[in-house]
Amino acid sequence: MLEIRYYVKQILNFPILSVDFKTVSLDALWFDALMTKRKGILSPVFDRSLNKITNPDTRATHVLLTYVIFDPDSKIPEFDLKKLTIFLFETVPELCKLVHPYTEWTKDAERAEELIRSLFQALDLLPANETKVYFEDRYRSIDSRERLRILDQTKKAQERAKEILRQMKQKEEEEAASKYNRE
Amino acid sequence: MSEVWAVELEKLIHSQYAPFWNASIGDRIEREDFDFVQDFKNTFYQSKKKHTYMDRTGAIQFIRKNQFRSSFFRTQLEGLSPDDDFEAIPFTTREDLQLRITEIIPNDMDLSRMVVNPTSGTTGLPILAPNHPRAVGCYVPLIEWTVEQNGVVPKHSPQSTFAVQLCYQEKTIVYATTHSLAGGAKFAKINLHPLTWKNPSDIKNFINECSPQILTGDPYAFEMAMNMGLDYKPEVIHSTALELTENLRDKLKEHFQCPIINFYSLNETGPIAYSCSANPSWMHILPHDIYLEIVSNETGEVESTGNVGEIVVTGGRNPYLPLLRYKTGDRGELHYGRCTCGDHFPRLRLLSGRKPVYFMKSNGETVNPIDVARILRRNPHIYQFQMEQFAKKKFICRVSTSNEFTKLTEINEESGSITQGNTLQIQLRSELESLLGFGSEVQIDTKFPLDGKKQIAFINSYLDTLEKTQ
Repeated sequence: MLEIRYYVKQILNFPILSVDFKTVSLDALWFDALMTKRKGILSPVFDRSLNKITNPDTRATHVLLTYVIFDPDSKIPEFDLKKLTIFLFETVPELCKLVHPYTEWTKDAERAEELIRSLFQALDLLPANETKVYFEDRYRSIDSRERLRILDQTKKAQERAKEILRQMKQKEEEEAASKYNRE
Repeated sequence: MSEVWAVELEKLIHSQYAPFWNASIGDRIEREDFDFVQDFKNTFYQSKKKHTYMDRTGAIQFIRKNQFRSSFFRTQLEGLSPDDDFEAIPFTTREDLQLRITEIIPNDMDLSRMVVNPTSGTTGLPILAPNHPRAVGCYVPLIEWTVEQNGVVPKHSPQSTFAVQLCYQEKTIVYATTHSLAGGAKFAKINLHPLTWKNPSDIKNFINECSPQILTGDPYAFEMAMNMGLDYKPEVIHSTALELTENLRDKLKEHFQCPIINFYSLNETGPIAYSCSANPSWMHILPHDIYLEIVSNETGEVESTGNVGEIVVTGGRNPYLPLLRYKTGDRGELHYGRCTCGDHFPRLRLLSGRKPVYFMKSNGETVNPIDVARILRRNPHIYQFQMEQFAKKKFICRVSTSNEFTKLTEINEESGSITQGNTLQIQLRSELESLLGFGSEVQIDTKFPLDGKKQIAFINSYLDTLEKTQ
């Protein structure tokens, strides 16, 4: 594995204008990409066809991922295909709901890093010069899903704070509870 | 409330000597609260018997329990281990309670049972401490235990009145109720001020008629009761809210011929300590579930036994207000060790407590500063205040306020001329002058700082000067 910045740079430098995302065959791309990582029978690569995907953001994200994995110089070792399948069918659509349009991956260095780290995390890969703890920590800090969860919590906290203040004001005017003394 | 309780309470409320009741308040105890208080009582009595009070280990457990429930605790404890860095945990201040209360209340708390006991208070920074009826209910066993130490056996019967709370204010709520945690024993809060009675003689008759086991109140109210010639002899007197001087304690003891218990309790913490029966200038920590530290005001470090500093509280049983190293603003010293009175919980000596201050009208009548506080607190533009009487008819009211209160506007005077002023200030001045009597002059100073500190709210430098010159 190389350092994370290598893969981030690949995403940021992806030749967007050279690809027609609408017509490209995702199945063919993944077949080619995985040929470099796995020997043996690969067809069909997945039990479902990726060509049926119509969401433009998801399609483009697949292309970006195959680009990184296909690169013979990337030093990405062999990995578990099952893990990749889960990542592509479950995580990617979720990420694409939060990060869109897909060009965000290629324009924003942090988003590019998020895409790479989410892939590596799913495949249990660790970039060079990083410990597992550092990797997880960094990933959490840029993970859109995590950020959304925190934002959501903050929003809930703000709503609760408003509710507390409203109730306190109301309770101040309501009946208190009797005590024998005063303070 | 059972039928017997209701009948007994009705008799008290409709007594021919009853004051003009103006409020209706119950203890708001439900079945689960009742069980909670019973459990608390059992643990508390056992702890007193076995001398097991909350130490630092107990405080750490309390903090750990709350750090994932209250976002305030989480923020305060960020990067700190409660065990190893206890003394580095930032203090909770009065300002935190005023401004960050929404973060302090644990996230999972249901707000529906919250109560806010309006505080009359003697400090200039109001704190609306949220509370739970069950935590307020715990006052019952705590107070009862202190009177038991003075030979009083509380009667848990609807026919008896456990306590009557006295106060002397121009305006306050007065009510009668029963306490379900005391077997339906009655309780009444009355105002000694003549305006709240049909006939002045009714006060004595009412108290004699309900014959409470104890009288509670602040030193000011007891002093007024003495001056009014109230000759009722309770089994014990429970003095709270203000500093009880040795001199007044002796006078009260002589007049009412009963033990006098001095009680240290804050709205935001609940009961903290009560006076030792063997040496009343010392107080014992009362509950088993609070942890006290004495902290140096200069260095912020914890003082060792026998050194004076600010009293800091951790723990408590108010589910809406878990206390994390809360700086009370009061000063004192703490001693550990056995005591001849039999209560071996740490002893606390309070210093410079809340001294009672009275204002004087020019005709010699006194004005309870709590009446001043009532006017200032209900004014939404005033955040913090201080009132000083510096001459016979002259007062200065220092306030920190909203911009609206300080902004100068044009005012049309009766003569038709236009002048610069502020109607909010003018209204406040006239309200205070009406309370402080004919000819009084109140100057409003809007430069009082809002710094979250416990400030002296009432000063009577005129009386101090008189005392010095006499």
